Amino acid sequence: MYGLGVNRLGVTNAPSGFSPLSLFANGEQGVWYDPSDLTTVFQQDGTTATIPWTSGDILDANRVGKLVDKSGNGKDALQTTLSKCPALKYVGGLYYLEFDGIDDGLQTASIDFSSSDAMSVFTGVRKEADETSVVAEISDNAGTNAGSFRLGSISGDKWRYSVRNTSTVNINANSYTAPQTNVVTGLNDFSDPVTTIRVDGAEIATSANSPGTGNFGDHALNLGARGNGSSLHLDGRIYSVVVRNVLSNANDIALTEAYVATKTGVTI
Amino acid sequence: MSVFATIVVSNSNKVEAQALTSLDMFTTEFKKGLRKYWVSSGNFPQDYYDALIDNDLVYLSLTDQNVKPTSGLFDLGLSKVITED
Repeated sequence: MYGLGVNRLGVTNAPSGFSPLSLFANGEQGVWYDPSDLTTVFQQDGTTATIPWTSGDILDANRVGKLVDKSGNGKDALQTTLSKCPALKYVGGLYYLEFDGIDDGLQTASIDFSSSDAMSVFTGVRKEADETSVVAEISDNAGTNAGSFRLGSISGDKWRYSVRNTSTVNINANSYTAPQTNVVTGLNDFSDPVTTIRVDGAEIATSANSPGTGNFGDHALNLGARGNGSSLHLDGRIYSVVVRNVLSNANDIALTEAYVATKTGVTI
Repeated sequence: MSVFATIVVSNSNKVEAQALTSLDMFTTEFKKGLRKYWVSSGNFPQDYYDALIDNDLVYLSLTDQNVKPTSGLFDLGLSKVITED
């Protein structure tokens, strides 16, 4: 059994004082996106602050063309085509990026994940449709590119975490029918090997199948769609994203999932 | 200035629509029966929107923000083409 030793946490709030920034204190590669921090959300021009939509029509001013990475690694997520910019919304006390399921998507510059063969991906996400989509993916196709991952949904009622080196390991969390809002976490270590998907603070499935050895690659990170909004569009919302180029320990998993849950409005 | 719209162009008009706007637009394929269409949705720069209209390249356009774009397209018989891994 390759479980990671964390189950339901029985908490609804991240412990006071915890910041995902601490997850990068030792120089870990990765990103942290927080749409609720309005100082990090900009319009298509990359310099004008995005105004959260609360009602009425969605305007240019509500569109997001730049989401600043708060990890300290400087990997901002960008979109320079106006019609492909997701909207920043503020509803029910929560901020989120709304992706239209047609052409919206954000992408970073290449991120050098090659120093490690492990990854931890934490997301607060809502899907409006049961179809194949990307919440977060490194490279333009994690199904074919070595050293990559995709976390998203697939047709049916499933969340999926996929990792690839010389082969692909797909692991699913079933029975999450849209519309569905969850904290979805993907964890893996190529050499162990272990690949795990967790939903709302509980481990749902884990696999010891090997995707091949080697480290992750030097790839762009895509949010809300594959390949800078080219395909596998998310019809839904992203509330929070934390990606670390390490296999997080049980304490960090618990703290990060609890933090993401507060941003997503999910009780875990 | 921009115009919110979901714009559908026919397969035969895709190249011209991209030439007037951007190669990064009209990259999402939908189909209706055997016919292939390309869709962009969101806020369009006014000059892009006007160019598409003036050149009669729009197969259909949805502008009501109260209707979710994917739902509006579905109601008109258009389904998204999803190519999985």
